[in-house]
Amino acid sequence: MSSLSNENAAGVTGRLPSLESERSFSCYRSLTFTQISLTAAIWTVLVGGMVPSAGNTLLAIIGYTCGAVLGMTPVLLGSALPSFRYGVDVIELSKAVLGVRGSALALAGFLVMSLGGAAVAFAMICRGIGMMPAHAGRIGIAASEQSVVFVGCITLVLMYVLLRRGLDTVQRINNIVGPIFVLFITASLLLLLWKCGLRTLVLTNVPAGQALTHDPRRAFIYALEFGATVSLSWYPYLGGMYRTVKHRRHTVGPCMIGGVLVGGGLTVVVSAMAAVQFGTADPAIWFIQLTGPIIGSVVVSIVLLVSISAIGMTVYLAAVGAQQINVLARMPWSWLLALMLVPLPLAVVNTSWVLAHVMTIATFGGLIFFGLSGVMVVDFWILRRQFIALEHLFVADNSGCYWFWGGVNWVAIAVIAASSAIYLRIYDPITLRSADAFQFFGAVLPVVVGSGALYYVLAKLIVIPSGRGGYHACRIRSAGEGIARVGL
Amino acid sequence: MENKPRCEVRPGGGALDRELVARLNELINQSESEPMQSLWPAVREIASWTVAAALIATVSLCCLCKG
Repeated sequence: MSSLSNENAAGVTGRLPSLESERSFSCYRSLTFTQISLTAAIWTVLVGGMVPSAGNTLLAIIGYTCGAVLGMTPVLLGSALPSFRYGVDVIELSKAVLGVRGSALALAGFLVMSLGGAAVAFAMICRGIGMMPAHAGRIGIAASEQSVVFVGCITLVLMYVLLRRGLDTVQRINNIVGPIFVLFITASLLLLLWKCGLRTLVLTNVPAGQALTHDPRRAFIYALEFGATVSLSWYPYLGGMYRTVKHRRHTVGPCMIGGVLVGGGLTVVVSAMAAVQFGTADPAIWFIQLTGPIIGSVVVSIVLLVSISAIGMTVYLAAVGAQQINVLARMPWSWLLALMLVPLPLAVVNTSWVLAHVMTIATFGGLIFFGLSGVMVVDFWILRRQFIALEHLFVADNSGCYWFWGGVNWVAIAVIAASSAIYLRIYDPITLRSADAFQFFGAVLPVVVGSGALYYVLAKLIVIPSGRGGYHACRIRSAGEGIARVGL
Repeated sequence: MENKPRCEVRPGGGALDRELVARLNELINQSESEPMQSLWPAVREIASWTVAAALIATVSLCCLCKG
């Protein structure tokens, strides 16, 4: 039925609702491997290196894993399942909560978080591979700076070619890359067990001076917070993937087993134990110390290279989300991709600036999704009872159900702003300083629950009685009264 | 019974908007498709994972976190 040209097919279908017949994730294994390759990337290894700083390695591992599962719950409920049902990504769905214009907030946060995170990861990969000959003593530092730029150019071209072909190609690559990554991580775990023994691995802690806390309870809560935050950072992405999932039976297992336990959990556990044993969170160093200089360098290069497909997936989803902007929606897919890739080479040129500033910006850009996830879960499951008038997501004037006040649901925006402020008051994600209230349940999980509860009360008191947001009218209008005038 | 279209292209809409309308009308009328079936089985599965994680966290806090 599609009237689109092949040129646009790969990207434009990203903004258009996906039909059941064209959904590409129809196999449990494929979706599991994609989840593994997305979560088991270089950034997870880095998070893993940070986890033992909670103060107690065993508690940190248990806490992180529990937090990752708990954090994935609102992601699946608020982003993945609604996207699976309606075939659109979470930014599109957020219009039902934030309003057709208010969803620009979610889009801005998504783009800042995606492109910022991708730029940081890309810079680290290029620097990691490019500096390897210098670490091995083969070339000088000045020459290796040139090799960093060279690696960056090659990687960028590879990524562009990969992404230009669309999600199917990325998915095929992920089917190869996912198992490779897990193989290396499992081999590292076996080597660690062989060299150190399980008891030493789980009972050795970071030096007292490097620990965030000496209170075991607080250490556990810190790790729980790390796990929940990492899972919640997938909120804007998972919808983009789930809109192409074909079967309901694949909606939970691949994500929890592949994404949270194998891809995320196993990688974090191995990295955490290695970081403690070798006294560094830098995977380039502990991989080499674990396996020796030659094998270690090869392994690090492969690990960095396989992370390219994960970055590619992030950029792909960012490009799909960016099509919410009218001008970008009409741009050819290849041009849009090129535009999305622009920040990446800039990151290679000045890596230290990127690490110092972009990471902070990306972290704060992602804050809105903590509050938004709670609001969207309550809105979709309780207030709207799983019903969204799909056609009205694409009505950009006051005849649509999701117009609220001038296209913006100010109540939801206020709840998200308040939840972000409360989160920052309890916990600073940059300095990792925490208030007393943090010791009970951390910061992010209470913020998700609290924002959902607050929105429920305010929606009942303000939004629904005002007749805005289509809470009553949408079902009737969608049932056949009136025809919606839609457009991208 | 023929399905009634529930949306149309807004004035001035182009080829992309026509594609959107075609897809929306097809999706809206596919009430029997798998994505439109009840999502509660998936919710039950999520709940089982969440309860398990919460239980492990609680037990760990009670047994392992005694300062």
